[in-house]
Amino acid sequence: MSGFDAAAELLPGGIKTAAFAMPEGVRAVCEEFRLRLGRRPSVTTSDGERPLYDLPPVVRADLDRVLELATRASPYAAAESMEKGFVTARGGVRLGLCGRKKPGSGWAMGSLTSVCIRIPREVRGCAGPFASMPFPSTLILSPPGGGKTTLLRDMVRLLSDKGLHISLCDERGEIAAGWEGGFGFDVGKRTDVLSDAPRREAAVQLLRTMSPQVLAMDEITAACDADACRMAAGCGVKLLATAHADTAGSVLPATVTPLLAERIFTRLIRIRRNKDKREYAEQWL
Amino acid sequence: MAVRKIIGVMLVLTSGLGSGIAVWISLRRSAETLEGLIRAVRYMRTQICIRKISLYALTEELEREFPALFPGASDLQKKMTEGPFHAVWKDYLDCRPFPREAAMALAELGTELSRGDEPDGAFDRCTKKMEALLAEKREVEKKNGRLCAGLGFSLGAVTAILLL
Repeated sequence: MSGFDAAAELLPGGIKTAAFAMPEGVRAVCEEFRLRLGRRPSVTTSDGERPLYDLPPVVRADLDRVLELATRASPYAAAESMEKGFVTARGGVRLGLCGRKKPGSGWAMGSLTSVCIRIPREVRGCAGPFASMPFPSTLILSPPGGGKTTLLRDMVRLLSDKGLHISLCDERGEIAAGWEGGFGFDVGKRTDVLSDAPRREAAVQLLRTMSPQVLAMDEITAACDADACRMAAGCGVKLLATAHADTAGSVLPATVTPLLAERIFTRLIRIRRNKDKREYAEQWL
Repeated sequence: MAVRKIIGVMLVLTSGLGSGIAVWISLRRSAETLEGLIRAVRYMRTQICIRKISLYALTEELEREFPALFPGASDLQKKMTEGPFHAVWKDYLDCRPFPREAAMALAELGTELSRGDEPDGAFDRCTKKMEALLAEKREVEKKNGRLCAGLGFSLGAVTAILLL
């Protein structure tokens, strides 16, 4: 099942039919489905967001149905991630949730007002130029939706297949798309994946138990993620991580700046979007 | 004339005993079904509260562990992708030969779990309802057992008088 199919299967009745009716060319460049209460369903492509045909506005039952399909009618099983504002469904499809949050219990049916369904992509070979050996600790930077996870996933696969032992902290389960004992994406022959655990906790566990040569993780956002990077670097393990950043300017997030000053990372890869293409800029520190 | 009266009394007693036994057997079956359902609910609780499996996956587990109670439950997964879980689950339960109140309690459990209610509370409520229902059935079964015994004794007595 392709990433598009996996994402579209989560849409309710008429919206799903409309999504599958889109021309193949549009489906190939689709990045997200967006459902907002009282607004027409829309689809995001490299050209921006546009309505999904002439469908009626989204009602509460549509949003509840999406949540039901994504959690397989089991919000209790996804309570931890829902508390953090997302759900990962089959095929590594990540749903961002918005609405009236109930403190301590995340979302229940009837309290959602927006859902953003991200379509996961596997672009094999996109990391080819950056997977040379010996591998330097690398940080991938781009704004949200820039393709960081796609590049990270391919880099993990290539390095793993080249012989490195990779430990992957997949907190949201969208890199490897683990589901019922298998993986939706190829992350390489020598990759060990720890899913659904907070990054710092996962990093400590992987360093202690899996003897990695490279520790990979997505989206360094909090101070504890930066601590996990320092710890891994201190153990002589190379790092491969991503972070949100404005790649056009020179401003970097506060969490990342000290890591660069401490030379925890020695290479930056900035992703810039040019229409539906990605441009990669490599910078050595 | 006297023989006719005696035969009449015997017929009444025999039919009373027969229907008493039939009701007793049906109550006993219903109580056995309820006991099975209570075991199934306990199993569901372990799978959901500890293993955190989804309700879709639970249908497969139920069919595997309790084939006599939930035959064909795993086929519901396809229907659940087309319609809301609570409606598909309720339709399935309505077609099963469960005591009505037990089927309702199970349907309510499915609705509560699928809408995001706290699972332990939902299971507590369901188990309590089932156990109360079972206690009620057991009580009626006991009363009916006494009735059957009474009728049997009377029939035996009349037969004995006739033979003597």
